[in-house]
Amino acid sequence: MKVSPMVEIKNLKKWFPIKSGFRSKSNLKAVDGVDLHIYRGETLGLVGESGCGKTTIGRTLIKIYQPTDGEFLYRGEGSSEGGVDIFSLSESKMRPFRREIQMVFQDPYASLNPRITVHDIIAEGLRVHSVGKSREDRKSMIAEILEKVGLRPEYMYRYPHEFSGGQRQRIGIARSMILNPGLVICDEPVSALDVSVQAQVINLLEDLKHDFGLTYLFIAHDLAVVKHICDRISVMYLGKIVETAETDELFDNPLHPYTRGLLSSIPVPNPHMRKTGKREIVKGDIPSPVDPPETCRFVKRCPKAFDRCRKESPSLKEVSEGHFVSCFLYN
Amino acid sequence: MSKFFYRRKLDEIEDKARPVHINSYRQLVWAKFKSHKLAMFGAFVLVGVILFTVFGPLFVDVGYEDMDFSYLFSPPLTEGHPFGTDELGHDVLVRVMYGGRISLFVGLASAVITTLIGTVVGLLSGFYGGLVDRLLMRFVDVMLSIPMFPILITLTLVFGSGIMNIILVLTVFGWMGVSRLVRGLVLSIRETEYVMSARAMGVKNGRIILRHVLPNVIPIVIVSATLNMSYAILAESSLSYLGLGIQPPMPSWGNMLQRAMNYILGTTTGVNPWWLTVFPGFFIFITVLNVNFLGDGLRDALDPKFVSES
Amino acid sequence: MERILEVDNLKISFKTQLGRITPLDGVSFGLSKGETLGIVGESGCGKTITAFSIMRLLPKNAFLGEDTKIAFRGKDISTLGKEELQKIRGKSISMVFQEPMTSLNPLYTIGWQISEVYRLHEGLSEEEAMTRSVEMLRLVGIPEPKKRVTEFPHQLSGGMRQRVMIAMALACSPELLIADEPTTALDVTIQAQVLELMNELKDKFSTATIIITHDLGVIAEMCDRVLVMYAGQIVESGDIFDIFDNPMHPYTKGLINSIPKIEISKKDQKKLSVIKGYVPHPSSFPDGCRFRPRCPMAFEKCLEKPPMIESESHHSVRCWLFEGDDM
Repeated sequence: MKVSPMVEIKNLKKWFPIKSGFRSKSNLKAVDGVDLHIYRGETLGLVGESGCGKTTIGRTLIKIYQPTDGEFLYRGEGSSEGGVDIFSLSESKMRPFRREIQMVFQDPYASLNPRITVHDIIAEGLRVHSVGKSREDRKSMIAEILEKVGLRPEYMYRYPHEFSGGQRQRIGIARSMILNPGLVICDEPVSALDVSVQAQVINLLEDLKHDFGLTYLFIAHDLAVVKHICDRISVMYLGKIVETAETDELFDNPLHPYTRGLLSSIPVPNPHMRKTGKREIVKGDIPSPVDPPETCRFVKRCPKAFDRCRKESPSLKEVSEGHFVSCFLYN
Repeated sequence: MSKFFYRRKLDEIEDKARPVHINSYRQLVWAKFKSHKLAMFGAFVLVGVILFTVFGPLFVDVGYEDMDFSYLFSPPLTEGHPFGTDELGHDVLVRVMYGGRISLFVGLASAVITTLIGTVVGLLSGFYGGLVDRLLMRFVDVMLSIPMFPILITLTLVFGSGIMNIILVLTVFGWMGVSRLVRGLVLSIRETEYVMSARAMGVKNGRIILRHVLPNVIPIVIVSATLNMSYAILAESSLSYLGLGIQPPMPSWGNMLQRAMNYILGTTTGVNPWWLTVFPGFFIFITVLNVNFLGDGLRDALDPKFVSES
Repeated sequence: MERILEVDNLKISFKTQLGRITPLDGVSFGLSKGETLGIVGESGCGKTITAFSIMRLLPKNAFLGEDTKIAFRGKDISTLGKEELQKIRGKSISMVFQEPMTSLNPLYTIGWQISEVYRLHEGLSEEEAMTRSVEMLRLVGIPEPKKRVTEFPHQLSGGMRQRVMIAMALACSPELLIADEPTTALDVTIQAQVLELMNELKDKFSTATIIITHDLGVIAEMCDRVLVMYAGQIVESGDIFDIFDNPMHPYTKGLINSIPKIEISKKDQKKLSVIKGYVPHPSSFPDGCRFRPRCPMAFEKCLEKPPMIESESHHSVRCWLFEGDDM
């Protein structure tokens, strides 16, 4: 792809120091050297199990956590060719980007302040970024966005506790979308919802992407949902990306042993496609991201591990067009 | 068999999804409070006590210092003295009313001031963390280890006793509990997704504290304030009882008890003036009890998981 | 095949501050030896209450309907007293719960907790019970079981804890195992391990199993028969292949169609079909057919309560669309 990606993340690290004893040198390396590209208009999926660091990445990109290291180059609508390193910006310079980069949160019951009305929840963003000429103007913008997400405008005077989980998630989405962002980071947006409601919200996110011309970073652990909505997928394990490829390529031709194990573990809702007894089971437990050794992170659970894996840590290499793997089997 | 589509409007579906027919958060809280019978009872009693102490004296033409020499140590229901009199002929009823004003005022004032100080400290400590948190919490630890009574005694000796001194001491030594409580709350609120969302949106810290953190802290703080009030009333009573608080002739429930103890134990006069302790004691008791009921009710009403009878 | 469990007209009501709520309204099903039954539905459908009520692990304000009968191996257990029930729980009928983080007591060692089952139900001495516990841990695939019995729950991962729960549940070789969302809280790769384990043990012990979950993938993977629940009732039941190949109830169809199909390539992914509206709250179930407000096929008969309509192949549906049809 010759076009410059909208988002270029280089060597992103987020370490959390842990106090153990007087001089704490222990670090929880939630994200430990991640490279990601997101092209304008695409949906990039970021998948992995607990402790892989995907949620931490989302929160670091939006600077809720301060990055330990790395660059986050963003080429927005009016940005220069080289892009702006969001991580190097001061809080005041970052302000306009906080409008362009939005986040949709996971827990519909915790992402809305229970003490304020829906109107105020959504209006907060408008106020902070000085959008809307008057109160009336803002009110009509809010009414419009509520309709767009499938809620009735009268609901703006209600409080979050009066809504179901799916409706609350729509309110959270409305809050982000009203600012007409460029990049939306969706952090497990449907994981806490019932199955039938998930479909509603997934469709809504796709419609909005199409109507507003958005770019998504879609963080999730449910691979069926990710396959449905994402153009490309990056698989994470213990703070690093192990494989990145286009969706169909990843599912048809998974290269990294972890990806293979992961895909093989998923139970398919079709009794004719049972995998019991035929799986490539990933043995053992997910290790702790505290002070991980400088070997391949997957070495203890990998069925194909060999000597080199126990000594060095592999890096992400392009194996075929657009298909990147971090594994010595392919080096 | 003909089958035709029977469509129902989306509104009816969505209305069915709302189990409670209450609109604002405040209405919901009020409904829950109303259903808590003890709390309603407590509120009534307290209002009654306040009215009694504030407006009661208007209906009596006796002052709290007036001495009726014809009726010393009279038991209740003697003429003109429904609650009886003490050793100097003071009318107990009137003294209970005026004493109530003092005790309630001290209780309320100290509750309000300690809550304000404690909330501010807890907010700053919990929200900003780091050095601010460490310094403030160490300061709290220091304050907690200062013994209240010796300081109080010293202050009384130096500055004399009086309402303002009591309030001063109670507030200086009473805000620490609230600050720890608030700090804990703020720490957990800070990690909620709605606060994260506000930060991600670019909302400034000050506004986040005012708009998102404080409103969610206030309910618990209110409950803590009611408990603080009952503690302050009891503390005032104890201090006055020890001779460190309000000095006679000005009555307070505490010092009325103190004076009465001289006569209850020593039967020097051959009379056992039970009414001198029972009445002030009773009022202390019902005030504190009902403030606690009120606090219980408020706590339950503000708890989002508590489902009321509708 | 011996009928292990026969539940007839299970009705559970709660006395709450909102009045009397009946979240479970006339559920009937049965289970034979060695069979695995899946109960699937979304939150609020009553599947968890169904599971808990078999062992009567219900809160104080819950009570069973008058016509309700729960027969375990032919005997009615719905009227048993506390003591009798305690003899059955953990021995003949056991349960595996959802949250491995909170269903083990953090204050006692793993070994103590498993051996408690042996001491209680089989009267074994501490030593004997511990030996059996170690064996059980080995059976469920926990490495170094002799060392593990001395450890505490917080020292184990989620997957390990779930295995311990399974060990405890199967310790006395129960005839019936009830698993309530056994893998929902686990990561996918760990879930696969636990599901494989459950399959192995199921075959080994020929335990009749009830798996309750909202995950259709787990149902398809593990079950012989399925009950689909909605708003406190069974809306469809049948053989696993029948249900997935030929779903009849509009809710079942809607549910299956609203899940993204992982077997289909990204290019061919179609827009997800949606069941409009929301799951009703137990305090305000609709009249007549409870799915009617959300059903794309609803017609005027749906204002009446539909009965369960059964076919020869034991594929039943609670829907007026199938009244009088030859199935």
